[in-house]
Amino acid sequence: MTEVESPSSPTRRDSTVDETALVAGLRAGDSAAYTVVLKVYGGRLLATARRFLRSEDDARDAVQDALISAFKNIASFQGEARVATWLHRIVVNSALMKLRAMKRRDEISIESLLPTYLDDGHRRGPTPSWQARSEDLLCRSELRQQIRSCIDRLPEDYRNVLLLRDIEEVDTAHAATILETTPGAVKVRLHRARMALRELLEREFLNLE
Amino acid sequence: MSGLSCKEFIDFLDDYVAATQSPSVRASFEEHLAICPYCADYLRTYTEAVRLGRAVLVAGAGSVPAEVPDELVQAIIEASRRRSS
Repeated sequence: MTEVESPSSPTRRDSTVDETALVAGLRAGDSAAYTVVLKVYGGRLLATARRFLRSEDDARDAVQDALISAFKNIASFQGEARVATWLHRIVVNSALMKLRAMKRRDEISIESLLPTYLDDGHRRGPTPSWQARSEDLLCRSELRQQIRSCIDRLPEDYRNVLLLRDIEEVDTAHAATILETTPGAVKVRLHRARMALRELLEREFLNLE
Repeated sequence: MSGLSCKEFIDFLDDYVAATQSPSVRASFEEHLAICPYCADYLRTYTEAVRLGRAVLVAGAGSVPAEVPDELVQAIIEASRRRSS
């Protein structure tokens, strides 16, 4: 399997950047520093916004708002995090603010995607096996799109937690701060989001048989 | 079946996957897994769902654009210049 970079962590490419000089340039309002930020970090930040927002225009708007805000508030950057991590957090916040401002879609109930049990707490029957085929499935773009669509069908509160914790690799405490909730609620929502995604994928894959 | 029900197993499956349980609790989960094929399958598909989501959204080909579109670069730089001048 190929190595997967964490979206919220600095990459090897970032290590070639002199962050002290870059931050000094941003503080001075130097256009060259803005360009460096966009060239070095912009692609990854846009990819993060695309994961949260369903339209390309919204993703671009979120990155634009986030970077303009970051450049404006560069004085608040104290260097306790890497520039990549700081910018990632600002873009995530910008994307979530955009989502909150949008009209909620008709959402599927999370309860309908959670496992059910017999009165004695045991499972009703076997889980159909779709795992063995998933590696092949992943090679087909149409099916990658279907996996993406399953994630997008999750209720918003659950989808956001799943994206933050499992995809963006934001830790529980910080995810709680971003979502204005408690770490305990993040943990419960993440588990439910994973179970719901498992159920949606199962329905999707079994229909493909 | 063991002392652990399927519901108890699945309710705390995230802790089992994250390996954050005490050794005795983990042992009771292992015991349940050994005799419950339903939960063994559920565990496999639960971890697979997380892996697939990650593979599609993070490692998928083209998920990270090589560069930000020019018009977006220009819009951000122009707006920032105006603010700083």
